[in-house]
Amino acid sequence: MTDDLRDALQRLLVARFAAEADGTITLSPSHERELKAVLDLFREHRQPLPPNVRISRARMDGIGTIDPVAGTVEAGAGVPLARLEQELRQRDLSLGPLSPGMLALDLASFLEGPYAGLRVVPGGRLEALPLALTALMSDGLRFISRPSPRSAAGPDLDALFLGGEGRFGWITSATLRCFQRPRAERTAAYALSAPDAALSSLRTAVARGCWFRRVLLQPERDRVLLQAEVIGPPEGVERDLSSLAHEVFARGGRSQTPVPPAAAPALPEREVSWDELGRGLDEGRAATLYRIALDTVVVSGWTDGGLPLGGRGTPSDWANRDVLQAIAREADPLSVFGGAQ
Amino acid sequence: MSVVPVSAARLPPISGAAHAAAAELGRALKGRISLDEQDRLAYSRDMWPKALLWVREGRIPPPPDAVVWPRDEAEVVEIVRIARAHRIPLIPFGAGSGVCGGVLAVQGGIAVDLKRLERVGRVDPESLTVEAQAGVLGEVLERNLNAQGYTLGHFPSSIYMSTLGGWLAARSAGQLSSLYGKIEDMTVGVRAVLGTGEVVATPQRPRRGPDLAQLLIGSEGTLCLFTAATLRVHPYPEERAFRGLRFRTVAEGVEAMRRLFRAGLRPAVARLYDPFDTALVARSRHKGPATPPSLRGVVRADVLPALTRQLSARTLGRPGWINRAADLFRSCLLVLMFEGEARRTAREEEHARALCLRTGGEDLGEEPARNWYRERYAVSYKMSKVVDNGAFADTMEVAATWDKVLDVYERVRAAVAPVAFVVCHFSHAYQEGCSLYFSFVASGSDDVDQERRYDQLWRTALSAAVSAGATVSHHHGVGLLKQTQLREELGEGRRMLEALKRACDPDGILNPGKLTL
Ligand SMILES: Cc1cc2nc3c(=O)[nH]c(=O)nc-3n(C[C@H](O)[C@H](O)[C@H](O)COP(=O)(O)OP(=O)(O)OC[C@H]3O[C@@H](n4cnc5c(N)ncnc54)[C@H](O)[C@@H]3O)c2cc1C
Repeated sequence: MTDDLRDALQRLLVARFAAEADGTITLSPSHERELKAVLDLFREHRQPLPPNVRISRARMDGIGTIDPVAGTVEAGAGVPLARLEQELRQRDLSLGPLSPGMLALDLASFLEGPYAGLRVVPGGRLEALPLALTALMSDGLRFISRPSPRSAAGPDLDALFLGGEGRFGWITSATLRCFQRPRAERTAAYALSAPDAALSSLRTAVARGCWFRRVLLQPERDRVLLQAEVIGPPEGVERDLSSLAHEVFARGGRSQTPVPPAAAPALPEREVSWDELGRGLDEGRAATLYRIALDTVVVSGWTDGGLPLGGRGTPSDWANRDVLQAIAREADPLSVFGGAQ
Repeated sequence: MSVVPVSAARLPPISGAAHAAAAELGRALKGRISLDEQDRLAYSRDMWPKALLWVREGRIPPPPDAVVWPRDEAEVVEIVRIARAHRIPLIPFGAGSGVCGGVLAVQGGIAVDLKRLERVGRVDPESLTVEAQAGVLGEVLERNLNAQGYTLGHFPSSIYMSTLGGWLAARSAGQLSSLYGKIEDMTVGVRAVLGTGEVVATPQRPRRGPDLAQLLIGSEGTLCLFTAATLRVHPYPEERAFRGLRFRTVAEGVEAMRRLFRAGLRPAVARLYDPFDTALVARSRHKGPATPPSLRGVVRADVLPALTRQLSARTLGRPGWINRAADLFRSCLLVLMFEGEARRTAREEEHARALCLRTGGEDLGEEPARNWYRERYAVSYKMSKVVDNGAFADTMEVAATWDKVLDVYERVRAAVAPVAFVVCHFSHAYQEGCSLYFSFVASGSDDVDQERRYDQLWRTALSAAVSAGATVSHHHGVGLLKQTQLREELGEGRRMLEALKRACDPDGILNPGKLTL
């Protein structure tokens, strides 16, 4: 970064410009306009964001309108998800069953990082948490999508920002989909003869509409213990428990007494396929599962396999990298966001 | 982009570029190319009602110069290579059931009919997915899956005459979308040929980075030609449960729907018919108790025949009057259907019924919903008499969050009332909102007047919907019809769409003139 640019940034942000001894610079704009001014400066100086500059959106942490009719909330990019969830619960809403790893993030990191803003909905589908996004594009213009439950108005351009690591633009706020606050939670435990049986019971139950907060799988010498925490409205929880029991018993499983659930420590999380999960269980590895979808599950505590969800990824690891990088080059020709690496 | 129709009796000459490309294409496709007038005529349009108006006048939209029928993905790649070399547009063509003019060859070029890519693989019983080629017709795909013991759960009313590729391109929704989702929800991955000729396959999760599939789905032939997709399937349902309920007002019915979905219930079908729609069909030709119309066709299957019996074309010319009369009707019908595993289905239906009764609903038993199910594909492909007499009909499907749904409904009705007769149903519901499906019938004194009224109707209706917070389309897509409003909806964000276009189709050969591109 040139001295000119550095001075200009310092003048703009004053105390919200922090330079560390190791050369790291943290810029903390407090609202979208200020973030735009920061980006404008980089563009005017025709410089990409250098690796030693971190732009924190932590101050853009406002919680806007909570709409109980549509079940939506407007939130700034810097809102910690745990705080947002707390606020929502007071209004009888919830973001749904998020993992400890997700709850430890702010909104922007959850949306732009490897979690890609995905949560699971009853029926096992992964769905983007935001109904709509506002983001700043590399030319400082605003990308605003329209809040609608679904749309056929061309491609879903929000998809550029979800999991996009900020390469296409920076999310400044979002309208998020909320569930009704789950009023009931029950835990059920079963023993099944083999990992296969446990996983197929679980997967089928998910497909039928069961909604789990967390599931523990513990392989033992000649059986697998499955402990499921089911959430939802009271009637829903009853239905889900009955569906799960039905699947388990159909595969020869038996009920067990649930072990009181321990407080979940925030361990590293990984997104793994069901096949991989099965292989892990076969090898005798226990698994704590979150975001249990038909596609994949999030496993807490595993140190290998699947896709690590902590931290930020780099575009060089992306699937369909060539096409996505070509899009990034077109969307950010001056490479303000680091362009296509 | 406005399109000037041409005389169906005298097609414009084939362009030089098309002639030059034709020889090469003919070799690459072993003769599966046609420059014949009949084929150019047949591929000149889809089911866009405005194009149907032109046809009635002996005119057609500008036709493509040629039509090709690739048999596999490699041939599609070859077509793109040749088209790039000759800078000639390609218009991907599924079954031509689109209703927004998406396949119109506004700059000439070559229609690429993908229906010969029609293979359907074996369902993987572990992952519950299947790979199918993009040209397969919806009904063929569903039957194939049924024979393997599964369902896709995607049932557009056009299932007999639309393809998987067309569904992906236009973000289609089936009648059971509340349970199974729209096509974008059931797609695990896509295979496509970009305008660069590159073949892309989007992998299943876990994977890093933005989901390219969601950027290609909905691109209406402007970014890629879909060749195949991996789709999520479900075991064939064990049981179905049906329920019909009457509500005193639209507001009450919408509130019941909202509560159902907010409570986490997942009916496969939840369709609320507005009062006049409900009343009209109670008088329609179907035998048995009040059968709700699906209002599913553009060439109206239910409303138009009912109207022809009850109204003359002259009365249709005074829509304000009919719309006021329609206000006399109040109660509306909600049709619910649940399906899936037997016990769960019964429990969900019971719960839904109780919730609806608490919201002011009156239980009409199973029959209205069973009737709807029986008649769900009863789409008439014939032009109704009233259409012959100078009327026209169209449908508009928008979507909004629950807080805006009633406002969208009222505003569209108020805006359109002076121009067209209008009914609406609410369907494709989600936790956050639902789709509103308006059907319009109007007439004009002559061809010119009809076209003028048609354009006025759409401008008025869509502006009213969008200004009340709706998105321009829930499942029919944009085509040529909704480009102005799409541009408004995208605002500055349109830059991202342009970036996508430049990256995927740098020469701009894919379906030019659509999606504002
Ligand atoms: C009576 C009637 C009922 C209908 N009901 C429904 C309904 O319930 N739900 C619903 O969603 N729609 C419905 N439609 C609309 C229509 O069926 C859908 O838009 C459908 O998705 C179009 O599929 P198609 O194969 O006919 O595509 P086409 O009409 O051939 O093409 C539509 C668009 O997709 C593009 N395209 C087609 N194939 C490909 C491909 N392989 N790759 C890339 N682009 C491609 C075309 O270029 C065009 O832009 C209905 C239409 C009619 C006439």
